[in-house]
Amino acid sequence: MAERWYSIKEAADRLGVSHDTVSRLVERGELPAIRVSKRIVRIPIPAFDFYASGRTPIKRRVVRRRVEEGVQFGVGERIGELETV
Amino acid sequence: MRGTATAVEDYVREVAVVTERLGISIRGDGDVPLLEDRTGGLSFELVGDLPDGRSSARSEVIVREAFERDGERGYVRSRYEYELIDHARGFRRGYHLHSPEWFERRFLVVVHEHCERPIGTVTCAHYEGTPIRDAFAGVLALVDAWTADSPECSSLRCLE
Repeated sequence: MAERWYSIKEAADRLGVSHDTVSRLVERGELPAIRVSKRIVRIPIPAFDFYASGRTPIKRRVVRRRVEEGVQFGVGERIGELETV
Repeated sequence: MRGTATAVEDYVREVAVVTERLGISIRGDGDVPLLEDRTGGLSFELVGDLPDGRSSARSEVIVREAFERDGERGYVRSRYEYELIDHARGFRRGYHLHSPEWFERRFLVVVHEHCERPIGTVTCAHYEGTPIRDAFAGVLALVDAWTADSPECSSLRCLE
């Protein structure tokens, strides 16, 4: 199974910066991370790669569309029973 | 999430930004459709993929939310589904709020969760869940599940 996250130390080593610098990036939300506990932070590798690439998210337009039915919820989830509500 | 239609649009746009910053490739041409149904409700769906390193399998991330009218000009989030389909690990995780009247009547809860490993093996149809305050927290919950060293369902409480 491929590893899916880096520790702060691993991220720091890969970026060539200090542990404290990566901690600050995480604290500021510039480098997305999962705080598992006070001491353990998981930096998802895809998030790290996106940050390290210097890319910025695509500027997406949100386009309103009139439809009869919106997004469907509970699909495949014992629908017959749910429909009796 | 509660606000005007413009606030909902801004929120959806920001959800897409945060999703992408987590390394999730959002499918589609760049626009995010915000559907307005005949009741005046709004809903959207974002589908994206997480790469899986050396494995060719990708993991699907799905975010669905619906907003119902709240007063003259407002909307309030009324339903959600956050889904992770982790093909490499054969693991599905879902955080749901839909059909709340049915779930309240049947289980005295409003939200529920899904957990399958392997995918398609339904040991429990609905697990007790924790409300998720918005799509930002929803996507983080999915990525948390995706990065877990050993995903499993046994710690969850079955509602059935």
